[in-house]
Amino acid sequence: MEFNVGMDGDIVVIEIQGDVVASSIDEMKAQVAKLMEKNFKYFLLDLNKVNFMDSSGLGACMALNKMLLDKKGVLVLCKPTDSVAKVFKVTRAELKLSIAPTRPDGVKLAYAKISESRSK
Amino acid sequence: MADEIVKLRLPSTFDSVAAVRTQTEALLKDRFGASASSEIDDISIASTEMMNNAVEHSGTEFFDVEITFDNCAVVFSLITEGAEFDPTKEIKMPDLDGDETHEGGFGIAMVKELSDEMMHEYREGKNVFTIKKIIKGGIG
Repeated sequence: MEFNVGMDGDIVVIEIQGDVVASSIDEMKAQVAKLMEKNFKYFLLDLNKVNFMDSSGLGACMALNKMLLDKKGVLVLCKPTDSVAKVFKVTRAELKLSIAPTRPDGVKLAYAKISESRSK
Repeated sequence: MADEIVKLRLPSTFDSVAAVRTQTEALLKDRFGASASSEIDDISIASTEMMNNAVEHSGTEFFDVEITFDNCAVVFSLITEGAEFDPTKEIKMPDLDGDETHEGGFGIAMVKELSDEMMHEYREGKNVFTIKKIIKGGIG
């Protein structure tokens, strides 16, 4: 699994490349945890290069989402491939996770969520 | 059905799961083409969850896979030795409608959602967990 990390204003944008599966989720969690330790709490995960995600990968996304919400942070996922979008749809994880079809939409959604979380 | 059968025996590891998934996808893409990509995704996700379950819970050193297909359907069987364990019992997709957050429990529920038939048999000391997926339109 590879990570391409950048910033878009206040948002950490992580483009993930590789499968998000049982054998690799610890890497993904560690990458986000490392950034959270540096007090970053707004994240956009770009999934356009994730060809495959299993239920462990989904569980990791759910766990990260909860962890960030607990810290008044934000997690947005964007541009899932068809196979990954199917995992979100069939499990109804779409109800809990913020998912955008493109990266610009993801950035927009993340800022909307940030503004929502700041107003609470 | 069965006009083509692929049999594999692999160590019970996540690397094997990835290897079977890659091989299954390649086989089915070659056989059914891009028009069946949605069904191939379904088989790929469902079979991965079946194998993950075996790697995590069967406690066996190896697992066996049989992939059988003709022009309109694919049957994927996972065979593990050991005590009887039926993963198809009490399947329930975690309820995400409420406030509660779920991080697990999706695997076998996804297998059920993504396959057209799902069955478990215990014979000669082996668990045989099978799914069938109809390829809409098929070929030929």
